[in-house]
Amino acid sequence: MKQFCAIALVFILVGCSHSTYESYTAENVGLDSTYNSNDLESIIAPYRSEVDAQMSAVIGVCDSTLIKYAPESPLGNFAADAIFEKGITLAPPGFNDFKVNNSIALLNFGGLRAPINQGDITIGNVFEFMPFDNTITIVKLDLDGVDALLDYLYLMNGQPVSNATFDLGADYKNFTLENLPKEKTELYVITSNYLASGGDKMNFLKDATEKWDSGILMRDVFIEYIKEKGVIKNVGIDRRMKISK
Amino acid sequence: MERRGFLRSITTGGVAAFALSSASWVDNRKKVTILHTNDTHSHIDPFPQNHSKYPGQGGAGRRKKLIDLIREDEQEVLLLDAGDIFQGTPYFNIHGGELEFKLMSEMGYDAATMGNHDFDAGIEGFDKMLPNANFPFLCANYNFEDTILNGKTKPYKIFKKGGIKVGVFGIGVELEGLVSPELYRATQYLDPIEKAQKIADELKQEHKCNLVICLSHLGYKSKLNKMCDPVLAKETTNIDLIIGGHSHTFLKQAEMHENKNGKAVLINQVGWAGLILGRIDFYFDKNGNPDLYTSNVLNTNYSIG
Repeated sequence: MKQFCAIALVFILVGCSHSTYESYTAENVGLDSTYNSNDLESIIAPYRSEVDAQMSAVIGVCDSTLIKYAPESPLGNFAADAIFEKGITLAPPGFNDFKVNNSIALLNFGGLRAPINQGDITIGNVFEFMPFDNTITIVKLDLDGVDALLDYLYLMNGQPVSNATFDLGADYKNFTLENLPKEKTELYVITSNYLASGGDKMNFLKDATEKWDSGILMRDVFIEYIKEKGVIKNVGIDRRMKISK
Repeated sequence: MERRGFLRSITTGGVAAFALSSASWVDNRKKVTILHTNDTHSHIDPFPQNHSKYPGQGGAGRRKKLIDLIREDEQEVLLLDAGDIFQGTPYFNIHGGELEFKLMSEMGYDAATMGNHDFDAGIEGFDKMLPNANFPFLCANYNFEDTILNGKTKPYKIFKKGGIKVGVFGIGVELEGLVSPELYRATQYLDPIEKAQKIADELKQEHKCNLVICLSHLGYKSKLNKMCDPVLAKETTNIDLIIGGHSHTFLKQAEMHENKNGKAVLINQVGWAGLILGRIDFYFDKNGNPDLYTSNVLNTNYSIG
């Protein structure tokens, strides 16, 4: 905890024309085992036992800790791959040409709230990783929308994606999707209802006119995905998001 | 007499003279201790031992212990939170924030502001939990008039701490593009700088507060949105301390910034998840005499960050 326990003992004369403080000291104190206490236990206990009852079930194992960072990270790849795998099996009404070679998954780093640690994965871990009640939503982007997506990814220094490779620089924006038809007309983005409504400034999703909310909780998808795989392998980095600034 | 002597020593002797005289002064001053958290995000228990970044750290029990220890030593303590109390562990998913508010009440929080994640159960969900909080929520730039929260938050509150008046107000982050509209409903976001200035003026000038604190959930820095605590500090006057949140920034200690008039504003933020308790002790002249010091002495003695 030392790294957070910087103590500043600064006596400073603070200039002011009206009655205010003359000096201050500041200290940010790390909360480690030094301050162990059972004071709040009687209040917490009933809440914790209910949480434990619902959250402690082990649903799988992770072979090495998945963490997030930009532009591409093991945690982001895991999340985007899981959402793509489920999302692509859905049948959005009216999106008749929705298929693997014109669809990607797009999430945001901000929405992945905790790492998946090495070892047993519990339901509780998935709640910490994805606490939001976000649902899988599919958005149809036209070519302008795709341009805006590329500009956004460059500006944001990447976000978690699946089923496509991005190579973005100041004056080039390469976007590769296996077997993408030559006559490009649209792209389907499998994402969350939060991002589809413009969350994390994804205005290109907000502005899109055609979208479909599946109502399927992303958290449930992650739980099912982990149960199915049994062991979550760290896929590492496969250079699907390359950004040169 | 003494004061005049001191003033002279500052103008002629500079930093060294002040450093020498400060030690003997402290005992005679009024002191107010500000304790604060931000972005605790439903972290009730310490992180598990297999957590990749903060194994075994944090926890509400330890927070209370440290707060209690400080309260044993200090007479005038204010305990504040800069928002995002909700969301981050299953405690919130299962219990909706009830335990978070109960524990903060037990710890003796004096006030908090709302962060964007405090809207995560909708304003109805927040409203439902409010009876568990025995401290006020201060929101100066959210207009809740057309919502269920109308009249249930305050823009500011003034605390009297042993003859020192401390004005505290809250500033929230823009909700559009951050929170789903069905969660915040008819809540109106108002310009943070305009609102902060208006309230700070009111607190300092009209109510003669000795110390004005802004609980801000704007963030220390932001990517696409230019509004953040250093900008708030630079564009306003009459704020002494900004207690920040939202960006989960671990500041090693409170930072000194310059306000619009070149005067000092402190900014502090203590990361997230209740890993750290922020502490700032302010010392005041015992008479509260307003005309002791010339302005901007600070700027010559301290490099502005």
